[in-house]
Amino acid sequence: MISINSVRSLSVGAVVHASPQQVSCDIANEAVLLSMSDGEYYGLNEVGASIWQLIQQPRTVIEVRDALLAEYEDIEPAECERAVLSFLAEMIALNLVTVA
Amino acid sequence: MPHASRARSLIDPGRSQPVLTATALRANPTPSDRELLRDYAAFGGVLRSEIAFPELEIARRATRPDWTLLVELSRPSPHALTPLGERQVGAEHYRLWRAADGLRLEHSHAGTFDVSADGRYIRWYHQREALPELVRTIVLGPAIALALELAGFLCLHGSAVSLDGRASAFLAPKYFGKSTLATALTAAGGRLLADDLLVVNAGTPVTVRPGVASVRLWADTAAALPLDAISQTLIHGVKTTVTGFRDEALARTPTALGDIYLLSPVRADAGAPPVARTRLGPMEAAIALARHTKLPDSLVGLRAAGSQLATAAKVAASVPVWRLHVVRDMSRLEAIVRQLIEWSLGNDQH
Repeated sequence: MISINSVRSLSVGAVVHASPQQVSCDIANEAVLLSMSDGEYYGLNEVGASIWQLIQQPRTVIEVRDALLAEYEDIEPAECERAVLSFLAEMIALNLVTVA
Repeated sequence: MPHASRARSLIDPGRSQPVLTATALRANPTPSDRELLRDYAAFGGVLRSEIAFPELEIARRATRPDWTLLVELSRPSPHALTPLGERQVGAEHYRLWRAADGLRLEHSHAGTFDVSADGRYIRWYHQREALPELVRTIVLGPAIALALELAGFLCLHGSAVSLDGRASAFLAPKYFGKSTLATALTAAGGRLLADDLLVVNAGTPVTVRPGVASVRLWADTAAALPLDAISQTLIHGVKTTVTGFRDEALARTPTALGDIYLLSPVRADAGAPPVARTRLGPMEAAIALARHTKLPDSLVGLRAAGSQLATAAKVAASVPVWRLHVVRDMSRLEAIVRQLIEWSLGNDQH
């Protein structure tokens, strides 16, 4: 379950990586994930799918944020960082992302 | 903002359940049946079988079989097996294993089925106490679905009818009325393609293979439909099996898939239309198709589930997937059928 504390506890220097306990596929700039830990499907919108693509290799949160800032022009760095942290915290809570 | 949306639980207890029934259409297959090798038309191919299938048509011309069902009198060989998954449906339990030379499906009441790695051979290990109808249900359900998945097809739990050469498919758990809709559309001039196991080829165009020319209906539903116009044979049991379809009521060749409907029954409120549809976005559509596979992810395991999901996404990217809000009221079935035909023929794009 996502919480304020879980977002706070994820530092921008943390290295995040897509969990191997899932399968995913791209569809129309979005993505669908099937988690083997809970047997549920998850849909990622375009930005979520971009993050998901980035963390197929281990990356720091800052690297993810900077890559998104380069890709999307209409977002402030602080807002982007908050959004990335929130998204990753949710994905970690769902066992879809691991933290090194 | 990035967003992950949670879909409903994958494991749907209402999906793809073969029904245990005491209605035996034929004596239990015995070793003497090994002499009875017949070729049947099924799923767009030929099933050569050592078990008789009264629900299947005899293949019209001799050809190399696509699948061969053999009855083994020995016990299942103790291969080195890797467990892939399992599934409990009521009193029935399924387990799937990967073996060196294919897959092994175990069913608590029908016994063991080995499917060869190329999907061409299914071996049933004879089990005296297994009900023959159940054995056939497993063969024509999960066992042949495994063989078809090995060949790259997407196997969904649903029905389909060809309307003027364009297939409309209906996906739903049991008891949602997909067989009723398919039969009613067939009686209205469509051609039945499939019921229960829907075999989709995700090529260009996406097509549906003809399945088994047989539909099972509840007795009251069967009584309300003009079945004499489309079928010559009704077998009355726990459900009424409609078979012996007339030539003009069957689609015998792969048919381009025009629309996929996810049945969503609604109450018949006054003033509400008998049927309405809402198109799903590609992501939601892909998830919906993946959730309606004949072989659930809990059974087939991660690798096969990923393959099914990728194929489902490919289909969802090229075929409209709709949520069909349909009233549960047989007295309005005619209006529902009329609307579905109009949509299919392109007379009404709403």
